[in-house]
Amino acid sequence: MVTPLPTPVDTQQLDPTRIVDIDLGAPSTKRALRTMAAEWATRPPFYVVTEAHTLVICARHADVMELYRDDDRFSTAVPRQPGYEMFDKFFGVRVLAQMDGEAHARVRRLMTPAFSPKSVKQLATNIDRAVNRMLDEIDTGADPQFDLMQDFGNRLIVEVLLTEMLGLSPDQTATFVRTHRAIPLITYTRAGQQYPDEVVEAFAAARQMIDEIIAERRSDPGDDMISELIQARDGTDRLDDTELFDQIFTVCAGAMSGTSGAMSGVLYTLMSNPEVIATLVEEPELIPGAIEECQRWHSGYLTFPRFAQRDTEIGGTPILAGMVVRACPAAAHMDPTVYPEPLTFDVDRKPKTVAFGAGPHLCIGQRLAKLAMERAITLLLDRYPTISFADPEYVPDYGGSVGEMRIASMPVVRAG
Amino acid sequence: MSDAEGAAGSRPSGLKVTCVDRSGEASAFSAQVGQTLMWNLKYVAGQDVAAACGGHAECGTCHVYVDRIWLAQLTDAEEQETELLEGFESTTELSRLSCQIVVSAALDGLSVGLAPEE
Repeated sequence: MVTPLPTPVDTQQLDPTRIVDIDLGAPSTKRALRTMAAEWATRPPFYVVTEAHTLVICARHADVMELYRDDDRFSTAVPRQPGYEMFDKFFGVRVLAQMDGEAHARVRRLMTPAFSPKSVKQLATNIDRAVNRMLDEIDTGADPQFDLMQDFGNRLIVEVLLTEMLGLSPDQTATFVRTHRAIPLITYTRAGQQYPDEVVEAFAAARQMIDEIIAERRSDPGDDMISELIQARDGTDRLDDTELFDQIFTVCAGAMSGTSGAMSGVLYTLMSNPEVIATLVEEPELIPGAIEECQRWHSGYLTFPRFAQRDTEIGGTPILAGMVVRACPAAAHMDPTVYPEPLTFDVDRKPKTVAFGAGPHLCIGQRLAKLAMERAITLLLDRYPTISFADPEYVPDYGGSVGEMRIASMPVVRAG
Repeated sequence: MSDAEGAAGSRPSGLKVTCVDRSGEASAFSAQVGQTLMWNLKYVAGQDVAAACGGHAECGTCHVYVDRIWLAQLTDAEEQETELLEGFESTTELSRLSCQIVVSAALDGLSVGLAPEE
């Protein structure tokens, strides 16, 4: 029996001047990130018609903010019906990022203490230990060439969050890394198709492992975040077992996706601007602001979906109930009304970005991610102040989910 | 209409609020009644308030210190606000989230200071 697809929007009723013909998931689209984003950044919201959906793309900063802030009109909850397979990135797990309203507020409130400024600051020693561990391993290589993403950028949040903060064993972190690699396969699943076997198997393995960890930490609590979530209280409220599972999954899978994209942009931008590296080696106090500018100049995400709950509009563009509305943070970061001369990388700009979202779904782990990136870049440049691309003509090959700017490999040389 | 456009087009209410920024500089502005203090600080006064979560008491970027004589004039903080502020090193007995304070006529003359960013 053929799985019915969502009823496509009659494109005849759309303003043709607002339809853009583009494949958002294509590698060529990702490679054109900056020039495309700069062009979109001054456009009112426009439509992209795919075989299963008519998407609305919000690119101007004000339009992105309106979309992010209004969780009444625009929900993050993925419709659980055929045709929306590619959006169910977490394979049915009820993650915080895909909940709205009271349910979201309650769970977020229970999780917030673990990510407060005080809690994150207490992890500073753990973060440095994790980063130095990775750098020490790189140092053991006889060849001065190494892979900045595989050996460092993509490992950062695994080492900091999974190993240091959650206390997972190498086998346990490997299970989550496998899930992290399977998520992009979900986002490229076409409407009505079955998910690849690797997705089913990776998530099954992660489910089993999380159940084991919860049982383990319940009987023998530690001072790690999972033990803290098990104990988390809101008066007499606490996370039940299903919620506990879901939010441990959120933290692990969500953190890896977000940080991979972020580190891809930060590392690629720095490596592409050796004079900036030289400045940061001399003035490491500029690193936090430089990271913000890197995330603006090369966003970790091209697009991020929401689901319209009723007929409405943004920026004068009609939106019908059920349409997928995608925020384009990459374009918002090129909006000249917010960031003058947006195509110029300015290490002194210190922009306020939407790299970690905005509104009620502002990334709960953003302070941890920022501290981890700051320490990673500080210690990396202190260790290798003349780091450079192995190939001066290097062009990144982007992978990851639809909408994600994940770089898998970035060969560099640690000493010039 | 964006928040900034809304603020730009509004008529001054005559309700005075003073804000001390993070460098210690004090400036007064005419606040809009009915909007949150956070909204007024960011869009009317042009203060450096990130307001990242958009007023949902989730991020703490709108953290302010309320002058003691004004604290009693405010409605009590909800548990969520108190819990969030407990996670900040800069929290004092004068701390409030400005997104949880709605400006009313009773707050004419209010004085607040921006808390450090964390």
